Amino acid sequence: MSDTSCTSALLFGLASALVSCARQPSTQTSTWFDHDPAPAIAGLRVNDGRPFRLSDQKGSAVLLSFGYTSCLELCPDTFATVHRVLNALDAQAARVRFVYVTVDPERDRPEPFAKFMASVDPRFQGIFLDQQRLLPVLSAYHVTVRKRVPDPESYARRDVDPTGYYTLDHSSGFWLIDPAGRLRARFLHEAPDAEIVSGVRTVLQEPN
Amino acid sequence: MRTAMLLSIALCLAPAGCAKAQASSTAPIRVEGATAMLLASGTGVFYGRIFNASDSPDRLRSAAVPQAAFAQLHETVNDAEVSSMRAAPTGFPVAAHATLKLAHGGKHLMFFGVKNPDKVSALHVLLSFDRAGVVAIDAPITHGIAQ
Repeated sequence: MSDTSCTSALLFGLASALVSCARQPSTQTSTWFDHDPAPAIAGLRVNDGRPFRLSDQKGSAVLLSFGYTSCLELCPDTFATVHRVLNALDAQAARVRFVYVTVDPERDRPEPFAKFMASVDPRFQGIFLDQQRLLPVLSAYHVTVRKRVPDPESYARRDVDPTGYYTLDHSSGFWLIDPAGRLRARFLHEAPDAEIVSGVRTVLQEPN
Repeated sequence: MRTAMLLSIALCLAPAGCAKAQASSTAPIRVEGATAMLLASGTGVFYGRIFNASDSPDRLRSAAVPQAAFAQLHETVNDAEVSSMRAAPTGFPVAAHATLKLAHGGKHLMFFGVKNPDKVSALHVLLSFDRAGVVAIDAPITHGIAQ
């Protein structure tokens, strides 16, 4: 190989390395991270009842979200956002996985959770972890979950114990994992679709 | 004669006057755009626009859904990172000649424990107001997550 070719190859390799290591600028609704491996998630994919491991999703970009099926306000918005983002990505959507981890293993048992996910979109992967396995995942991703239990004294209907009808505050938005399995970004709930689409395209187009 | 005529006129006017007094002490409530979303789990949410047509402020104190085991007024609060559905045990005020919106992303009525949800075509909601009393509404249902 000539000196010029060596130099060109070296420069190309350097440029590629710089592109893949470049951190995207954070905004008010997104934060980009260093290229650390995404914390492991291992549980049950309720869609088909098979084991799920986040590391098995390598080769695809993953949009990860946390919620629960009784979340009737925020989580429908999350699903709608994913639909719009996938539509905007067009052919690239084939390389994107949406992973939705329930933060309510007490009520979102695998079978009803599977029916729920099928009713939303069969492409969306619903992941069940029991409480023991869920807690370290919530910690690793810095996910807040707070239980709000109705005060039985506040309600006139006393023949029902309302403590089973709790709601859960939870962290919203998405975590973006790249095809190499690295945690790359956090998008808040308010992040514009274009920001999420751009972020996904960025990680899909990087050399791995 | 004149006295009798004046008395007759007064008597004729009195019922109208009484009705007006009653009308001013009643807070007419109109509910528009009532709709509900119901999941296969029996959990759901009710939305609507509640207009207080009276001259006096009122308060939506509580709500009940006879088809459900439990219903609770909520308000969604989103900070930058965490989304909450917070109970409103004292309800929501409705100012005079103003609208209280129960809508996605804000105040709403959440209910749990509807049996055989796939067989339910309309949701019967009882809204309890401090002044207007109980207002009953039947809301059409969307089954599943509305997107």
